[in-house]
Amino acid sequence: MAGPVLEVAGVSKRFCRNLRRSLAYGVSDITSELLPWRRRSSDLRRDEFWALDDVSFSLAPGEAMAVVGHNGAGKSTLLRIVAGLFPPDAGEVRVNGRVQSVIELGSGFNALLSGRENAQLILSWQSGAGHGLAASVEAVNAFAELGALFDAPLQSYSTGMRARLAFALATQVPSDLLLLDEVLAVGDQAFQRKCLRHIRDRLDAGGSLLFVSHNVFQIQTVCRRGLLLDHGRVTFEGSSVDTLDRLFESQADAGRAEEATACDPDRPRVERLLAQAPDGGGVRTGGPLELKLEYFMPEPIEAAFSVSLWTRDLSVCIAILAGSDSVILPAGHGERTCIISKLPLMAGNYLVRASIFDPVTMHPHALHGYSGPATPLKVKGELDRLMILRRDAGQLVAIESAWSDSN
Amino acid sequence: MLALGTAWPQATNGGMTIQPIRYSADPSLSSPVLFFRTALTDFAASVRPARLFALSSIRSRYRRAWFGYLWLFVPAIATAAACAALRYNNIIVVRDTMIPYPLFALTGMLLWQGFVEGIVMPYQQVSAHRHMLTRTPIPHETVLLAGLYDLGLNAVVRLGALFVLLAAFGVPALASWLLVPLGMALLIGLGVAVGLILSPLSLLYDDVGRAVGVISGFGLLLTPVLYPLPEYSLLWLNPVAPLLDGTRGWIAGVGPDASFFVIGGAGLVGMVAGWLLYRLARPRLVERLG
Repeated sequence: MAGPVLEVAGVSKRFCRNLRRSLAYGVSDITSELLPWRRRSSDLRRDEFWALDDVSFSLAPGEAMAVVGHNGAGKSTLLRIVAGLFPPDAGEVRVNGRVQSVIELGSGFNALLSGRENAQLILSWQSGAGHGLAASVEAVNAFAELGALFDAPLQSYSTGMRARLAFALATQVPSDLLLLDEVLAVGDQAFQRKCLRHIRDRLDAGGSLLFVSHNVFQIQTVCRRGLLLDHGRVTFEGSSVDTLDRLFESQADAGRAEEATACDPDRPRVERLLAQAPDGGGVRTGGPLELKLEYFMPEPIEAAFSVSLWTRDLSVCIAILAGSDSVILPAGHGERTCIISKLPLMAGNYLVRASIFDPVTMHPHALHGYSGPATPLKVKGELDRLMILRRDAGQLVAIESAWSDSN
Repeated sequence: MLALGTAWPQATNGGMTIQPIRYSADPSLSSPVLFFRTALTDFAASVRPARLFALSSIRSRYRRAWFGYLWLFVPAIATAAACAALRYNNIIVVRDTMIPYPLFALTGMLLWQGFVEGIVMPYQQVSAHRHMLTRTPIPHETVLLAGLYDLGLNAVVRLGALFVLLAAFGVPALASWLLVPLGMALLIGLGVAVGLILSPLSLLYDDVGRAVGVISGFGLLLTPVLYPLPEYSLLWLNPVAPLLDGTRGWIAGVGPDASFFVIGGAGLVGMVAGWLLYRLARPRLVERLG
């Protein structure tokens, strides 16, 4: 297939906040469909907003692109337009091939029918399967691993089992472009791995993927490209790693603003946590790192300190650096410093949290980076091919090793 | 580009190149040829899935009911029996009918039910599958055709029960009985036409559905369902009257007049027009129902 499988050019979509007015606009829009010669305004009407605003990108065969952003950024709207569920209000979408969308798991299921009956039903219209329908249905059961439950009514299925059935159905529908919207958020780990393996096989075979997810691991596993949406606009397009970095930066910015308005001056608190090289320069893999904690105690208190290093999505704690002894902290402002002489973290963006806690009960007196934003830590490294490979693989720490010939 | 092993099946179209799909803000009718071609393609692609869909819906519906198909004609029998009892006791006065009055009323009720079910079918089908239709690009014709299959099955069951009761009451069987299903189909068609034409509005505004419920309630009284109309009456202007009375006439061996065929044909044309109107409205409905 020559050329991109998907081209999105200047696509905009408007929605209305007011339901009653939205219905009236619906009648107006339907009337416009009946009068195609009548010029339609592409301006916002009262109570409308741009759910998508001038979005453009393209996707080549074999490519996988993650679409990320905050809730309400326009991700699902974009996927629905590409799936052909409703048209854009400006711009156009061109799809060069067949599209298969899994917008919401189990949305096409009938709860009173069995998994088998649902599979027959859905495959009959999605894949146009005629004589091969029975084989496709069996393949769905084999992928979903539902066993005898495949013939039980769907209302007896758990959410995870429905997810298995929905994804297994998607594997049996031919397509050049697959649209997945938060469909791997449920199901057990083993099944998620199986789905991800399947998606990668599909990409290797030349299929393309547009993937909406909040799961960083899944995005990094299947996507090389990323698109960041914010209030319907594309704010960044690049590699999936860089796109996620931008997303987390924007989340941290939002959190900082929130914490600034929620600070209580009479409570023990961590006022600031600095993560920097002792010489004030950049932090590098294998180099030193200084973590300086500035705090305030309204009264003397016995306490211990810890700081912890996290991945940028705060899903993985890489290390907790706890002070071994407790100290009596006087009332007022103070500082505490933790030095790491050789930082083993790979180049990338991380977050640092801190805790001042009671050494006996372990109950925290003050926290930093839990309810509010954590301190960002940017680690630099040599950008060679091996480094890019390690970063794309999600490697977190660099462990020194020595290789020798065993013969 | 077919994947092997566990790989994802890629799109093929019998070796043919798949035409690029374009979605834009242009109205569907800005390219009428494409609009009609897509409509026919979706219709053709929906025929088989719709049958499966209808069978599944029927199975799931009756899976939770002990009396199954009895519900299709028992209410009509009960209404007809009640009217017959009222007439027998001179509480209501209905002039003589061409077949025994209980069967006259029953036939009218069964035909009226077919018409009313036709009106509400598009709304009911789209509402029942709203979640799926707003999240998957399934042709909506699939659920609409499934609704038609369902209406057809209901009509067959009702007419079967009617013919059994006619025989039980000793009404002599006539060749014209074979035309009764045609009359039933035309009544259903007229109902579906009205339902489809109203569907863009009824799916957006609940008021329309409620109004249809109210109108079909007193419409029963303005239509010769439970009583025969005098030869000259303004109620003959009700388009359902010639269709219903003409169909019932076939049971007594009396043929309908020309208005029967004019209105029946208009119903079929209205069904096609309603379908095309629904297709035009569909994207705007999906973005507001989702």
